[in-house]
Amino acid sequence: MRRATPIARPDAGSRSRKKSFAALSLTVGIAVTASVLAPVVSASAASSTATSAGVIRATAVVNSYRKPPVWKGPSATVSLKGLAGKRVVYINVSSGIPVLKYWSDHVTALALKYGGVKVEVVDAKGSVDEANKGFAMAIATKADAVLLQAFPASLFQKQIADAHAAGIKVITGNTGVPGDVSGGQDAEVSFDYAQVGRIQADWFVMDSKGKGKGLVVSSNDVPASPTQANAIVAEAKKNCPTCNLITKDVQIPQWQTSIPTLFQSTINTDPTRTYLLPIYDGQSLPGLGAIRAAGAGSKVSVGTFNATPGIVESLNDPKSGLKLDIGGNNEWWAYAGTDTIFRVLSGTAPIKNYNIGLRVFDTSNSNLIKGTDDGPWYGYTGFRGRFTALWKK
Amino acid sequence: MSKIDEPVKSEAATVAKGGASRLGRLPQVTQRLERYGVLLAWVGVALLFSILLPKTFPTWPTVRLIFGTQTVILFATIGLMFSLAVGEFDLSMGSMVGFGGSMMTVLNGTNHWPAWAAVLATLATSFLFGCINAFLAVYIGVQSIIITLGTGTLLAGLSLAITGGQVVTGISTSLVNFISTQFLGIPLPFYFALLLTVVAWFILQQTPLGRRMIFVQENREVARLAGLKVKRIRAGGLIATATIAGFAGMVLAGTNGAANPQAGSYYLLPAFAAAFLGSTAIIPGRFNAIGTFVAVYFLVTGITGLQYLGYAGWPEQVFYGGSLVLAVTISHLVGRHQIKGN
Repeated sequence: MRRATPIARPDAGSRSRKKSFAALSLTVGIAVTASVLAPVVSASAASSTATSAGVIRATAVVNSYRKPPVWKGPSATVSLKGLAGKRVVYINVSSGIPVLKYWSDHVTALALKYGGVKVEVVDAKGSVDEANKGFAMAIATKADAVLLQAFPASLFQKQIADAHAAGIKVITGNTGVPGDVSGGQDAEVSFDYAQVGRIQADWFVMDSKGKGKGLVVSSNDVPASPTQANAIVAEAKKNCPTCNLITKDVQIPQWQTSIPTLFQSTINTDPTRTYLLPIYDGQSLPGLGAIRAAGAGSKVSVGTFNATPGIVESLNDPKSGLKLDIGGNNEWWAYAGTDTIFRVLSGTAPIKNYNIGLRVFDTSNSNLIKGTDDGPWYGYTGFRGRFTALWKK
Repeated sequence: MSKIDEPVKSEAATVAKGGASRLGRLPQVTQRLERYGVLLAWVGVALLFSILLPKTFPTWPTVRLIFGTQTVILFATIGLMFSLAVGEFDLSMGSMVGFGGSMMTVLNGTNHWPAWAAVLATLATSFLFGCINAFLAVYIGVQSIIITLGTGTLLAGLSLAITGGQVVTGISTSLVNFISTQFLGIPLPFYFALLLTVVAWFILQQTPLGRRMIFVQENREVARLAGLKVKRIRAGGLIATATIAGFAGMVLAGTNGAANPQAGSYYLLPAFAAAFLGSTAIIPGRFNAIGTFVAVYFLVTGITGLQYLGYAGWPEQVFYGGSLVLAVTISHLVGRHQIKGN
């Protein structure tokens, strides 16, 4: 039997070499591609893993804040001896803003009831000049302390120095970071706005399952706003590296006219940017109207803060697009503010962070929103007894 | 019919300033530039953003956004124009917007009045406040800018009082749904505002009353000597402003589904800016409905375009203020040039 003709061998060899070359090329190609893509795929996988872990972390945070808040406040007591008859000038940025009036009314009542301290409220009506007048009045009438509410301390450096020179302590309220006295004041008592921002971000990460694109709307004319806005961005970046957030600043005088167009233009320019995160629900109100009018309630998710009665009810209206409204317990703040007054007046070291109760209100627990008295919504009043136990007569 | 009562038609609308004769002598281009400058600027701005953002700006959703979200400003500005057109300043207009929305919401949402009754009662109250402004400014003789500053502050306080300083809600679903109803993708209030613009145009440009209003604005004393009921016309302007502002407030509350008692004050300056910008267009030197409409939507288009480009906040204010300063200055310079030409 004849073997295959030798003539066939060169062809076979040629095919073989071609196959070998093709195989080599393929191998090299795969190797090169693999070596090029490996870090990308690896990074992508790592990023995906990080995001998955972040979503789990974010979900845990949101779930914990859905529950009634618990006491994480101070345990150090303060002596109220000798405080009766002392005077505090309380400079309110605007008593026309309901929550600010609520705080000043409650602090006035609590300070008098428990410490015999007289609080005199000055309504600055949003004017720095009026606030300056409040400082001048405190110095002229030899008050014992000034509480400057929701004004940045940096605006009043001279007034704070003058007050100190006259032996008057200065407390600031709600300027952004609890316990931050870098403005020269003696104490700062504030909601933890950075924590509020982190909860907003965690809700965004959780709700979008780590795939969200959103718009943060700050209002930098409010002292606490940049702290909260920066915290949203930082927390989202931490728990969801693949999420995308942009930030815009729309200040109070422009809320009514600019927010509706900003919400809609955001959706129009990028229909995938469906998460709208205004810092305050008062800021979001005109935008909710625009969403309702545009019939876009099912396409967007609005997550905000303050749980203001009259606005938070929109959680029950799917057409508004409101899906989250974090609330801070205002009565709790009033107790914390009073506690700070007592500590400052008695020469006791002030508390850095009272961890004032926050609660997440979203579509899962919007049934808690009943009536205009928001106290019961939080499901916890134990802070009253905790504070009064700290105040020793 | 006296000469004053003859209907105003196109170029004849400038007669009260002696404009018709000088218009004939001026180059057509200058006339048209002055008359249609803001309109051209509107078109130019729209074109500019369409070139910069070809995929997103020249789209139907953008048109819906521009015409659908700023209806309250259009209502407020057209309303304000009625008092400006008779030479009166109504600084209570913003507070009236806030009060109108608050009162309607409190009556309908809190006190459970039927929606129609709450709307009528709010309109009647707005009318009444217009009458108070008119009585004090026109019949007692205090300057309207001072009186309305006072009544505006009073109304702001009343809004806080009736709402307890809170955002109030509870507006009947039927009313909210009605206000949210869309035609061609744009909510109904826009069409109401458009209708109001047409009515204002008709009154100011096509009726003897409009001619009389112009005459009163130009020279109150001469108008009185010519036999016009000047006081009645001035009072009418102030009453119209207050009533329309109250209506604008109701539209705002209905759109939001809630009323913020402090919301109205933020409409005062944008409405004045749009009204003055509108007075440089179509019939330059005169508050007019079409010019106002063009001015409002020129500003909205510009701001929307800036937002599309990613600029929110201060660039909007720069655009608002800059447009007003530029338009009024150019209009003034062209007018001076015309006088020199004469």
